[in-house]
Amino acid sequence: MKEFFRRALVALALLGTDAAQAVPELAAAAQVKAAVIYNLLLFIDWPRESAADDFRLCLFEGGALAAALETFADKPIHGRRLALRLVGNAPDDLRACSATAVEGGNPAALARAGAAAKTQPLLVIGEGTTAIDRGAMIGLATAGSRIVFDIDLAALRRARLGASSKLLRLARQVVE
Amino acid sequence: MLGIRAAAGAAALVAAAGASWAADDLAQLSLDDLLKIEVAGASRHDQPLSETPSTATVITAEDIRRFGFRDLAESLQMARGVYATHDRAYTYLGVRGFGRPGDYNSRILLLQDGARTNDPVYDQAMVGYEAPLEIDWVKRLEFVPGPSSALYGGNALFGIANAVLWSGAELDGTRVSVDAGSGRLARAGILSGRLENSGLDWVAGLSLYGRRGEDLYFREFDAPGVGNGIAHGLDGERYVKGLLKASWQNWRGSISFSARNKDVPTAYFGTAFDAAGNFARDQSLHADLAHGRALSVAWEEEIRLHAGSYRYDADYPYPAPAAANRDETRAVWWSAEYQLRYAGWRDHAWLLGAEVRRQPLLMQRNFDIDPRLEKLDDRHKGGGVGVFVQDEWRFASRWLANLGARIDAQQGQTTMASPRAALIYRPVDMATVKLLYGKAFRPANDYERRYGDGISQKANPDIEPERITTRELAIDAMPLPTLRLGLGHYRYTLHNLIDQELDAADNLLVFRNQSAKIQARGWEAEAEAMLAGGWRLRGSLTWQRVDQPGGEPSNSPRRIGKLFVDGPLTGGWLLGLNLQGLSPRRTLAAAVPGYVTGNLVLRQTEHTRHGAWSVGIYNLAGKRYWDPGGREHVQDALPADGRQVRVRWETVFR
Repeated sequence: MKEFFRRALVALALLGTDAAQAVPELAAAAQVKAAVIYNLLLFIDWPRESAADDFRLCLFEGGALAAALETFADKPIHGRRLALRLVGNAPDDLRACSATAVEGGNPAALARAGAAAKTQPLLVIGEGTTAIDRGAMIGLATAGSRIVFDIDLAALRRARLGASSKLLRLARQVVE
Repeated sequence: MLGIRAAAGAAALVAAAGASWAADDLAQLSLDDLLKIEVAGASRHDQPLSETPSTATVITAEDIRRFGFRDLAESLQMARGVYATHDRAYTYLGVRGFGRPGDYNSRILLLQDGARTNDPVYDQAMVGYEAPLEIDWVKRLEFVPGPSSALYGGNALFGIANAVLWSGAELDGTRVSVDAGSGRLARAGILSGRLENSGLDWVAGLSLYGRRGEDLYFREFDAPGVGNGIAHGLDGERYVKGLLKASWQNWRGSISFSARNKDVPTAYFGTAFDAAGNFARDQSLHADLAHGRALSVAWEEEIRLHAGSYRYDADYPYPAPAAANRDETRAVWWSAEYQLRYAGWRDHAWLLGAEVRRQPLLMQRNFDIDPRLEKLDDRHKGGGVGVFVQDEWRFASRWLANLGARIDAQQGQTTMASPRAALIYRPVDMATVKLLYGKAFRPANDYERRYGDGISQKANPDIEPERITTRELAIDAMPLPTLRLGLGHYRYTLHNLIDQELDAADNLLVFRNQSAKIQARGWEAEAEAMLAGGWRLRGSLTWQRVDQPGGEPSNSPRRIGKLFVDGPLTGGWLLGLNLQGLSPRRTLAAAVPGYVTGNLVLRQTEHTRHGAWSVGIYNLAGKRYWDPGGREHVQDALPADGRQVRVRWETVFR
C-alpha cells in the first residue's frame, strides 16, 4: 500500500513539472481578487482621525486570499504602508484595522466585522455574491470568468467612508 | 503572521510559474483592467454552503483541533440541535429531535467537497470512524439543517453536512500526527500538499488507526447459562483511509478510500454473546472529476463525474447449533452532473442542472457459512435522473429571495418534486431575518425494498418515498461586535415514514410506509461571545417536540444544551472545553436518563522543533450514560464510553 502511495505521489509530482510547459492562460482567482482589493483600497476615503502609522488590512485566516495579498504588503495606500495583520477572536482585534477582507466560508467573521464597522471607520470586504447581505460593504465575486464587485453604499457611509465615483462606475451593482 | 508568510510563499510560486499573469504583473494593472482578466472557473462546489439560505453552522479546522473532535459526528455536534449516538457498530446523527434507533442515517446527506458520499444500498451518511474521510483532512465542515432536496435530490431531509478538504496551497507542507489513548488506541496520519510552480495543486493523505477496546459489561447478558455479562476484548476497531486530490487550471479531481473493521460486542441480531468473529466491515472508494469553465462573461458551466464503490461484510456468529451467518453487500455506482450558471440578468443568479445516476451493481447476499446455505442473493441494476433550477433574486434593497426546485425520477419509484423557497430580509445592519420553506424526500433504499432472508425479514419492493415539509423562521443578530445571537423556530411534517414492522401473517419483519404523519416543532437559540484575552464562549439551547401516534418517539430528547469555551492559557497552551447535555429520551421499551458530559482539550499552539502536543480527556467526569438501542439489540439501552484520554503529537514540515 505504502509503495503504491509513494509511486502515486511521484507520478503526481511529475505531472506537475511536465504540465508547466503546456499551459496556462488563466490567472488564479485569488491573485486577481487580491489585486482588486488593493485597488479598491486606493479608491476609498477614510476620515482623517483613523490615520495610524501603517494602513492595516486585517485578515481572519491564512487562506488562499490572504496568501495572494502578501504580494501587496508594504505597497503605498494614501501615503501609508500596507500592513497585513492576522486577527483572532479578541474583541479589540479589529480596533486598529482600517480594512478587513473576509474569505468565503467564514460568515461569523463577516458578521463580526460588519458589526465592528458601526463603531469605527472599517472597510469590510467580503467574498461571495451574498457578502453585502451579511455585513460586507464590498462583495467580491466571480461572474463568468471575471471578477466583479458589488457595493453597499449606505453601509459605507455609515462607517464614514467615501467611495470615488470611478469605483461606483466599475461596480457591477451599487446598493443603497 | 507566520501563516500568511508561509502561504504567501505558495502564492508567489504560482505567480512565478508559467502562468501568464504573475502576481507582480497584476500589481501593475489598473482596476479597469483587472476586472477584464479571465480567471480559472470557480466551482459551485467551492462556494461555501454557509451562503445558502439557511441557518448553517461552519465548523473550522481550528474548532476541530481546539475541541479535539475525533470524527465527523463529534464535530457536527457543534451545530445546534445535533446529537450523536453510537451502538458500537456505527455512529448515528439525530437532528431536530429525529434520530430513530435502527435507522442508518439515511435522512442526512454527507458531501465530500460537494460530492455525495451516501452509498446507494443503505443511503447511509457515515459519520463515525466508518466515514469515507479522515477528520484531519477537513478544512471546514458545514452543516446546513433542513431540507435540501431542491438542489441535491434524495436523502437531504434533515440536513446536509459538507466536508471541505484542504487544498495543497493551504497545506503547503506535510503534517504528521501520532495519537495514543485509552483502550490501547494508536493512530498515525500523514497529510501533505503543495501548490507546484506549474499550477498543479495536490494533496495526499494516509491514516491508520487501531484500538483494541475495553471489556464491556451488558447486564442483559449477566444471567446463568449466558455468561457474566462481560464481552471480552470485542470492541476493537481499525481503519485505513487514503486521499489523493489535485486541481489544475479548470480541472479538479480526487480519489479517496476507507476500510474500517469493527468488532461488535453487543450480540445484536440474536448472535452469541461474548463470541469472537462478530464484526462489521465497511469499505468505500470515491473518485471525483470536475471541469468548470466560463462560456462567456455571464455563462459558466461545470461537468462533474463521480464513481463510487461500497462493500459491506458482516459476520454473525449464532449460538450453537446454529451456523454463523454472513451479510455481503456490494454497490458500484457512477453519476454525471452538468450545471449551468447565468449571471447576466441584473439582480438574478440562475443555476440550472441535470444529473444522471447509474448503479451497475447493487448486490445483497446473506448465507450461512458452514454448512453453506444461501438465504438471499439479490443482484440488480438501478438508476435515476434529476433536473433542477434555482434563482437567487435580489428583488429590493435589503431583500433576497432564493427559489429552487428539483425533480427526481428513479427506476421503480415514484417521481418526486422538491421545491424550496427562502426569503431573507435585513431590516437593520445588525440583524437578518430568514423565512424558509422546503420539501425533501428519500426514496426507499435497496435494503428496505429488497433485503429478505425469509427467516426474520422479508422484502417489500412497493414502498413509496417518504417526504418532509419544513417551515422555518430564523433571526440572526449582532448587537455588539463581540456578541452574536441566533433564534430559530421550525415546524416539520413527515409523511409516509418508512419503518420496520412485524407482519402478523408470517411473523416476518418488513419495511412499510406508515400512514400516520409525524409532526414536530422546535425552538433553537444560540449565542457566541468574544471575551477579553482571546477567550470565546459559544452555546446553544434547543427545545423540540415530535408528535407521532403512540406518543413520543424513541431517542428524541426534548431539550439539548451545548457549551463551548476556548481560549489561550499561559505558556503557549490553548484550552478547549465543551459540554453537552441531553434531556431524558424514550427507548423502544423504557427510557434513558438525561446526562451532561464534557470534553477537555489542552493543546500547544506553537510548533517547536519537537512538534506540538495535545491532550484530550473525553467524558471528563466519567459520567455513566446510555443511548437507546435499536430493534436488533437485546439491550434496550447501550452504555456509552466512560472517561477516555487521547494524547496527540504533531509536527509540520515545510
